[in-house]
Amino acid sequence: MENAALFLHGFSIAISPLNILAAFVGACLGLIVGAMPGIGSLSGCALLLPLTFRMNPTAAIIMLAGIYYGNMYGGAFSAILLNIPGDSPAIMTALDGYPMTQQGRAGKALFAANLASFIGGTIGIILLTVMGPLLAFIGLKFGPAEMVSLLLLALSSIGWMLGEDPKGGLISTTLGILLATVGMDPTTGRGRFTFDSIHLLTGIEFIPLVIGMFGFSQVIEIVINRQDFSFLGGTKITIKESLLSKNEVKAIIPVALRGGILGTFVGILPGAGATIASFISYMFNRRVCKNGDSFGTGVVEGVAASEAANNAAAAGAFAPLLSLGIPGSGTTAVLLGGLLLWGLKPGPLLFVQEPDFVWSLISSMYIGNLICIAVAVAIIPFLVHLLRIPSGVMAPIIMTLCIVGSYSVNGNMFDVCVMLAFGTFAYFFQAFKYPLAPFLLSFVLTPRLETSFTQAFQISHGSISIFFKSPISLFFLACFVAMVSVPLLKKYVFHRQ
Amino acid sequence: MRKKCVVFVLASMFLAMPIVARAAYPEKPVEVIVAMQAGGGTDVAARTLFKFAEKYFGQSFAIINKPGASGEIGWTAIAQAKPDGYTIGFINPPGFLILPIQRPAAKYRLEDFQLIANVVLDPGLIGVGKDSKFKTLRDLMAEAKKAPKSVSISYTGPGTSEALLLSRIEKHDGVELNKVPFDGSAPGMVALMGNHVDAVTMNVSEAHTYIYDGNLRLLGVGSLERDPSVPDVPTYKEEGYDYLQVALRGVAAPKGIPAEALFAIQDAIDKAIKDPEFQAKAAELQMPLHYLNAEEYTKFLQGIDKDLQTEWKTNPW
Repeated sequence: MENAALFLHGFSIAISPLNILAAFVGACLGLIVGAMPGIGSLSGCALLLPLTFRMNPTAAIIMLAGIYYGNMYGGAFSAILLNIPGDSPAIMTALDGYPMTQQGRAGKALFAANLASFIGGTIGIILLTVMGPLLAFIGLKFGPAEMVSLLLLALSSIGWMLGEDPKGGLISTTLGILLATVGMDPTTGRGRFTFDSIHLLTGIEFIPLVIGMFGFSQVIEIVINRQDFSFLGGTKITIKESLLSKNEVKAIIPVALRGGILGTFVGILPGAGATIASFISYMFNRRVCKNGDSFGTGVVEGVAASEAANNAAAAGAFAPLLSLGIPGSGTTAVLLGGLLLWGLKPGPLLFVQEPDFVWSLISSMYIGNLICIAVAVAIIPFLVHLLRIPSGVMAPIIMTLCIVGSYSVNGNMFDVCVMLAFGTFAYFFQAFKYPLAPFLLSFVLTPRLETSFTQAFQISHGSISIFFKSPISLFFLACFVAMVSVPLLKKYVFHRQ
Repeated sequence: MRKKCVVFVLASMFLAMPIVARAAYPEKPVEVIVAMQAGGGTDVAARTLFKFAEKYFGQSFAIINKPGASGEIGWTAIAQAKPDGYTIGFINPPGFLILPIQRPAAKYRLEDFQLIANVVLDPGLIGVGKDSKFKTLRDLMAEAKKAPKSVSISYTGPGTSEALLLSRIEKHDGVELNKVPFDGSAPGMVALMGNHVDAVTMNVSEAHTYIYDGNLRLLGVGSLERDPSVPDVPTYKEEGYDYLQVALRGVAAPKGIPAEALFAIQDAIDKAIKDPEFQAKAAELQMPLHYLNAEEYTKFLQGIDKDLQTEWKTNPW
């Protein structure tokens, strides 16, 4: 109960006008930064960190945290409206969000995304409040072997996406794995498939690839098909039509709850982060939802699954940062830099020595989350107007965003070429009816799997037994085996009947 | 009339003088190329230093991040920049020196640079968890001697300065450590605290919070003398391993910049480092300052470079 008192005290600090203002400014900046492709939360926080030097530490970290989770909301906007994920966690949002826009239901998609973001974020914060330090210690149990088992499970879930044409999906997955091996080999440190280019030494940059595959490929499509209409197809969107119906809200809530819980736990794992959280949640919800098969065609549940998880993961990532001083992602590393700068030393002692700070930060996240949804909902009507812009005007705008977005990742023209190359590739890939999502999934998961795999084998001296020693790893492996074998068994049983 | 004319001419000549004469350096902002991501340790160090150096320089410094390929892209850009004193950059030896040794295709060499000043000296370290049975570096190595690869240690991967150090102490004692690559100190620390590895390598500046929380105990540091921030920890040399392992951060320009530019920048950095306000900020940022002027820095890096070159020929790490 002592914690409850501390929490309430923290809340009283967080609702001081200055701190609310800081949360508001942070949330707004985060929304803007998140909506711009290529400028993720990492660069957003890094660029704004110096601005906070003169503020008091509590207000400063509240503002930075606001940028961080505001960013998760903002990432959904361009994903839904333009099919350009603002940052990588929003990829799965685009899978259902953009089809909804094409069907003239952009408003609904945006509302669904924001509602789910809010639910997911709130679950993440509640879990952080109730079991912050404990969460961090669960994260510690995840050594390389446990990560391998979890990633195997995640990779195998691609199977659910293949649908009617497993052959195309398989080719797509394999290509993703293959391209992910470009770059430095984690065990030997030597370049693979780099053709002596220094740009390929650290692998193919993910953000330009995604921007190309979604945004640029779409520009090609507009130009080739000479679609001479605005995205709305002439129909009018009113706010009334954009509001979610009772049934839709009912459908979103369980999805967002599952996504929120899953997202929080993935968020605490070092190096996993919001992107993998949204992948896993999307896959899981696709499996358990009644209309799971229609995921990817433009359903609110798909948008909600992804958005709930990535917002929850953003909150979950604070657990190892605050209670162990270990940043789980690039953005939390910048936040750690900020904490050190203000003379705060994150770790188990932070909760004891600076309870005011920790608890006012955590309680400000509730407020920040409320501010985010209020601001986001308020600007939806204006955003929807963007869709009235004719595609002849829209295509150059998207093109510009694609170029700027992919350039700004490293300030490098090579990344723009990557964007162009993969955009062209994705256009033909889709023209021949190959699915893109399995490609992206395997591209993201493979390097992490490879790293964990080599680490696990290094630790165990090449013995495979390491994967069967820990209960966590065994659990995930059992799920993996079940997932691969159950559909096969089902088929077998059905055939016999 | 004539007199008036002369006065007029003289006056206008006088007025025009500052325009005609070559303006003194620096006449415009100087670009500073940082070869690492915005927001990382190197970037924050550069931004903080140059914010203070501006005060003493008279012009602003614009930080430009050119990350990628472990720094090679940014460092090549510095080497190939016009040597007019308006483009300089931040370098991170020994990675900066190791890279061209390992990759003959790399497009820069130490000789392509005019070093200006060193700013940060951050010793490498070997550490264990708080409950570890190893009390000294010798304990750890004695255990490793019992069976090959019986002691596991996290490091940042092959080809790095940590890999070099580990390979040297392995060779020194004739043992084999089980080296597990991790992407930086944070994942390595997670592995140590989760008992997935026995020991870690990182730099002292990265370790302060872990030491403070009691999760990490240092066995040795790689500087020549004991590090003032962890005075109880012996150096590798004291433990019988006479190897230098320090991470440096300094400022360099392309070879051939005007002498006045070199001195102006060196002077601004020197003054910034002596600024108590900057020293306080650096202490908060866990930035261990160690100023070396252009001459000292060049000599120091040439020594390390020579050592690395010979080592690479006999014992590629």
